[in-house]
Amino acid sequence: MSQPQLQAGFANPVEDSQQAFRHLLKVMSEPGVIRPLAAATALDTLTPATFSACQTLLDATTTLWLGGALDTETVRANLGFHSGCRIVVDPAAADFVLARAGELPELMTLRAGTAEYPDRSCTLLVQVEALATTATEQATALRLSGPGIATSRQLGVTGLDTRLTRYLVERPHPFPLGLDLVLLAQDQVAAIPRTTRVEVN
Amino acid sequence: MSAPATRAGYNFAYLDEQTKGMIRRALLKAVAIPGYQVPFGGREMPMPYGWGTGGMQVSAAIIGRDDCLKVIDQGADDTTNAVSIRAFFRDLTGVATTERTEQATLIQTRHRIPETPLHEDQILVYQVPIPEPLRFIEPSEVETRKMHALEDYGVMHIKLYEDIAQFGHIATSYAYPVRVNGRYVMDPSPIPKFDNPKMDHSPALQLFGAGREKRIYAVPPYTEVRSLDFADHPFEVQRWDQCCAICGATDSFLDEVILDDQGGHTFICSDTDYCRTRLARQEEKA
Repeated sequence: MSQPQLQAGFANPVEDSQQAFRHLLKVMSEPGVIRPLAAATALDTLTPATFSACQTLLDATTTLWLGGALDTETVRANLGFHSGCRIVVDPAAADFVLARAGELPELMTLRAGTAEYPDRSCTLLVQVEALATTATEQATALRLSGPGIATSRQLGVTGLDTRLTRYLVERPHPFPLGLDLVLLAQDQVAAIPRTTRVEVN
Repeated sequence: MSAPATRAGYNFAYLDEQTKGMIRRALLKAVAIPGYQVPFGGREMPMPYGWGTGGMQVSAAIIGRDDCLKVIDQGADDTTNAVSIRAFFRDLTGVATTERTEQATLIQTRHRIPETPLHEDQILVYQVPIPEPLRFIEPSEVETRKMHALEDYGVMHIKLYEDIAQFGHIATSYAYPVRVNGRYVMDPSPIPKFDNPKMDHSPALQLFGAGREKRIYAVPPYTEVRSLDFADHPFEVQRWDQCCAICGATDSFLDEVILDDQGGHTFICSDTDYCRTRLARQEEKA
């Protein structure tokens, strides 16, 4: 059996993670805004955006649940090498969940925080096909409103599944509990935090 | 490949990368739950608590090479706290600094919001001494956490009501409590209540750092920020009969300046950049 191939991460870790974080902060504070995110190269099944987000957010103090097609030996070895994050088997123990939309674990089993500490909740890193501000044929067209959005904003996501869409629309976790969603396309990022009201057009 | 002339032996922006990562994750949760105080592992900074260590840690976690930094202390760019924090970041990051509000991408502030309206993609970082608005009423963190969880904020209105009973009006003039997005009651840091309306639906991102208390909280852009009040005692901001003695502004927050020991005094803008910009514009016209 061959050893998984280690691959270079950020060329300038300090600067690249800062730049990537500012894009993440922008999209999380203004839901539906699409920002470029491609400081790293692609890693096996992970897109440049996903690998950049992982290097920015994960370290030895965070736990990650990795599932479905994204879960390969190469990805595990590289994320372990670059971030030192612990990869967990139980999704309920994860700070971050990384998967494609259709391969997410049961969302109601994930940590949604407590009434006193709603920040102790899971962040979903979902790798999708494409993000767009206008509706395309394959994309799920979402209409977002809430904090961070002046009136409303359109977001077209290719690669959402019905289960995740239903979660976003119905928000079964009562606020302030909830899951925050980061959508990672090829080289772009958008986010939908728990405060955003989502309608499907 | 590395950042321009910064002090040798230090990481970019002083903090180590793991600390920045921890603060960054706290910031993402803070913007996802507007007004909620996220605990974080506050580090010792090379200055004492009370001088803005919380704000500095937030700034250090987000600042980058392309930023243009402005630091104000009570509205002024040229006071000790502002000058030393600006010098700190210039030394340890090499980023551009400015005194002009509209040029800055990142503004760290102690107790004021600039008079010039902020725009999108600007970030305002507040230095916060006591992040918990309920702390003066309830000293226990366990209890205040529970009060936030249950939205049990009646006691906050009692505090304001006691003002009315005693003085006939709400006498709280700074650190005036606000409700964010209809949910969390939040301490806006000791800004004068004159600045509270600027927080409501601001196009800029507002981040709050409390170093001693180790809390981070945030208000995303375009978020409702309502100052608490009563139907028969609506929220009001300070007003002055005077205008600024330097630029003549009637719409800015004024500081009283004592001129002599005979009781002579005058009023000037607290926001030095606003005052200077107005003055320059008047001289251009003349």
